[in-house]
This record gives sequence, structure tokens and C-alpha cells, in this order.
Amino acid sequence: MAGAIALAIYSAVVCHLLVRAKLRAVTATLLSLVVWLIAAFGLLMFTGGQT
Amino acid sequence: MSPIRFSASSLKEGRWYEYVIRFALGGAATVFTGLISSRYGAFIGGLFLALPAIFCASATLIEKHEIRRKREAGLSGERRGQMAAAVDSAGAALGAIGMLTFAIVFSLTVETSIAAAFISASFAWLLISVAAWYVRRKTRSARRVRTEQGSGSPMRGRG
Repeated sequence: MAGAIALAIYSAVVCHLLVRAKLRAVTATLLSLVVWLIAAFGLLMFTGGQT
Repeated sequence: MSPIRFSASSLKEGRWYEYVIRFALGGAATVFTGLISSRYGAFIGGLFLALPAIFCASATLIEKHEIRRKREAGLSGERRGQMAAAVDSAGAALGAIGMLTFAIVFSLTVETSIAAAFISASFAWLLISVAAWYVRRKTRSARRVRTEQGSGSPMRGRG
């Protein structure tokens, strides 16, 4: 569940980077992996590994 | 409102190695998740099932296809490629909502039967993903109509 929420956040961030920051797809998707990692492990820690 | 449909013509746009890249990345992500799961347990392994490994390649290839198509027409196509990749990522966000639903339904029903849990979770995924797409499409259409009415020009904002 934490992974799915992180994926939703990741996709939204990629979308914004492409539309607003006008980054190339490869740059936007690779940079946003950091966001996915932070969101996924943050949610996992926040829920205490219950998700 | 156009229904969801399968278009085989999109498959012809890709080169063979692009599909190899996707399959290889998908396979590598699955192996990586299995290794993580066996080393650190199912909680962390489950987390990596949602790792956007294929998405990076997919979005890059979509952008490349759009640029190629526009260059054939004598245009740069870079912005168009970025927008096509952005639409793909918006779709991935909707798919993630469906994935979340799958995880919730599966975790609630797995104790009764694994097969039943897979079937019900898959059905829930399909239902929520399509519903999310429909709601987004409806809200975008309504927003577009409001913008056009506000600007007074029916052609503004299209393209």
C-alpha cells in the first residue's frame, strides 16, 4: 500500500516536472525516483511497517 | 466521451529493441524485488513491487516517439514529446490508485482464499482504475468548458 501511494506521488511529480519545469522525460523520471524512495520509506516508517 | 479501446497501431510505432528494454527492465525489477524480499522480508519486498522501473523507460520512449513523429513533419517536437510523457505519468497516477485498491482488497480477503483474493482484488483494480479515468476525463471536460466560456472563445485552449 505504501508503494502504491508512493507511485501515485511519483507520477504526479513526474507530470509536474515535465509540464512546468519542462524537463526531458529521462531526467524527470530519474530525478523523481528520489521522491518515490522518500515517500515509500517515509510511509513505511510512519505506519510502522503495517502497510 | 470516447470509450476505452485497444489500439494495435501503437505497437507498430515501437522498435523491437524498445520492447526488449521494457521486458528486460520489468524482469530485472521482479528479480530485484524477489532478492529484496528474501533478504529483508515481505514488507520491504512488497514496497518494491511498486518501484517505477518500467515507467522510466516507457515515458522516455513515448517522448522519443512523439519527437520522431513531429520531426518527420518538419517540426522540433520536443515540447510535444514532454506533454505526451506527462499524459502517460498522469495515467500512471490513476493506475496507482487502482493498485492501492488492489492491495487493500487483497489484504482484506487473502485469509479466506488466495484465488478469491486475487480475483476480487483484480476486479477492484479494474473498477477503480476505469472510474478514476472517467472522473478525471469528466472534470477536465467541465474545466475546459468553463475556461472557454470565461474567455468567450470556443477555440481557446484546444490543441
